[in-house]
Amino acid sequence: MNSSLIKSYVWLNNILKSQTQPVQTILRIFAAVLGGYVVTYSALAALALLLPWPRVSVVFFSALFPGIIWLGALLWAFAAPTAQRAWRDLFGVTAFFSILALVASRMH
Amino acid sequence: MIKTSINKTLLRSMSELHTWGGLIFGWLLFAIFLTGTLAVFQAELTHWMKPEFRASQVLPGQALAAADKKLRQIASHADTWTIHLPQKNSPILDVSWKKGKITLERHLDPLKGAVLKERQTEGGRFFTDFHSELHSGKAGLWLVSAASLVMLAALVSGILIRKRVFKDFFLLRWKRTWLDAHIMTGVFTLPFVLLITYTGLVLTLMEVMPVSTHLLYENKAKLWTEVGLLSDQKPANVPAALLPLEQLLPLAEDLFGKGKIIFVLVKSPGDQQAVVTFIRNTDDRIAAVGDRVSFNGVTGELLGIHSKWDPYVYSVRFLAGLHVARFGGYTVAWLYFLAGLIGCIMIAAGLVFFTVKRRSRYSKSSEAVQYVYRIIEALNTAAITGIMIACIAYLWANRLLPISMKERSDAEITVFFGVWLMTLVHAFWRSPLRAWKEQLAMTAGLCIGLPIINGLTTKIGLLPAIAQGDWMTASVDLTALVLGVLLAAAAWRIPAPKLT
Repeated sequence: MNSSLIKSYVWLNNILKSQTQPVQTILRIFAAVLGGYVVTYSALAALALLLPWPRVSVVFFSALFPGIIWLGALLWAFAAPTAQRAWRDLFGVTAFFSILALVASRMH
Repeated sequence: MIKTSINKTLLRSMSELHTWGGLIFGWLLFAIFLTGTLAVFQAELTHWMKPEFRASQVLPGQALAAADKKLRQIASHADTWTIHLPQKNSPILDVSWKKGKITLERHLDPLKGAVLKERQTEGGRFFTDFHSELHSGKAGLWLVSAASLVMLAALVSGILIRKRVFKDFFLLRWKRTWLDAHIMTGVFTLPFVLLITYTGLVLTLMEVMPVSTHLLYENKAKLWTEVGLLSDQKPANVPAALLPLEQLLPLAEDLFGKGKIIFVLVKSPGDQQAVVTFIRNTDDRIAAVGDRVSFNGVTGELLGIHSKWDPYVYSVRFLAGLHVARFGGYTVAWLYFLAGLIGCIMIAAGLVFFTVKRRSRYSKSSEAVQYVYRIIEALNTAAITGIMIACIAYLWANRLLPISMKERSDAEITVFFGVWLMTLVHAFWRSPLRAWKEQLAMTAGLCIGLPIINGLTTKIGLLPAIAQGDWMTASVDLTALVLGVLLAAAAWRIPAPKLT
């Protein structure tokens, strides 16, 4: 039981660190889809909770941007030197927006 | 040294993103662009698809009185009524009503209020629905959003990998190759495609990712009430007679102009707290948000005028208006139509170039690779000529299916999808060049034949329509004819496949 857990961990770890072409491409596609989604979601959440305007304005102001945020994430997923770098950066941005959103929701 | 190698990898990955992203999503994007282009003339296509009814001009007051009378007969217990008053490009009086979660719709003669026994059809609305959500609800909206994102990424990566395109374009260095056709139409329509894709993406992402609405509102209705699009007046559950709606119309027309009212909404008809809302047409401004005025439906008391919108609501509706192009009359509509067609050519030329470039290369590669390219060729054909045949077959189905058939609107849509599927089968069955040639010829034939079948099955064929000055109908025939001739010329130019 334990050893199979370790084995699958090593297997997954090897895949995630792999620099071979097909793995890189698949990791980049996942970064574009999932990474793009979480970056956009967290950015919208941070905007929604931080802007001190009437809530109607907030909803419609933030509707102007998700396209460009996701586009940026998608392009970086493919433009980053390696897929791992893309994942790291997209998660970094997501973490940043999430913390902003959390802090803002405390202050609400 | 390091910098140039980074640039090289960047260019390579951008090139692969453009090639493969463009290929996979290009199939979907062509369908979205083509149906979106047709959706510019949604009202006109609907008019063409309902040939039995050709109304003379009716005053808005007459039409509203007719709708009022009919709705009192058939929908007196409904929660809400929606009346779409006849407009220049949609002379039929459309009424719908909602009870609980069920919405029903009837089309009326605007003069007498009689329910029209015209053929049942979704009309041009089907193209709009397919364009925005692929006729499949939320999953479709997500797919369209994804395709729009890839379209934008393809624009960015396309410009990056061929920086000299702008120079070539403006120096008129145009070669007669598929690549140049792709690039030149791409540069030509770049502002339009950027605009139409981004505005579309704003609309779809707002539907599928309403993050701020979730965080700030209990439900969507609350948001729409606060924006000013929904009335939050609760019924009193005390019956009271609704004023004749046409008595309130002049008050609304005083505010917004004669003949400017397009929608009339009635909330809780027959209740003491009935609310009647008049919505102004937005055909003379870009922002697609109609100013509105509400009255108490029993006393006629003015409840509120809504013509000042939150600046960001207005901005988003401004983008929406730029997308749906209802603001500039037929000049803007035709410009959008033409730009949309050139956008379609851009996508199609890119897809064709993908296979043309590789045809000689893959004839020497392994069987598995050849098999993959064979699939791509077939999907290309079905995605480009196939959807064109499906769209025109939808119009043919409107003329050929029995008029009194049950579930007729659905049958027309089934023809659309059935024909599309058949073009896919055909594309696998025939050799690639043959499939292209035959399907293009088929599209051309169906387009050129449209005025003929229309003339044979209805009283508003091309010549009678022109004689009566019914240019909305005649233009559909004429546009099909022109497109048919152009497509026939394209089919003619495809080299005859060698017999093997």
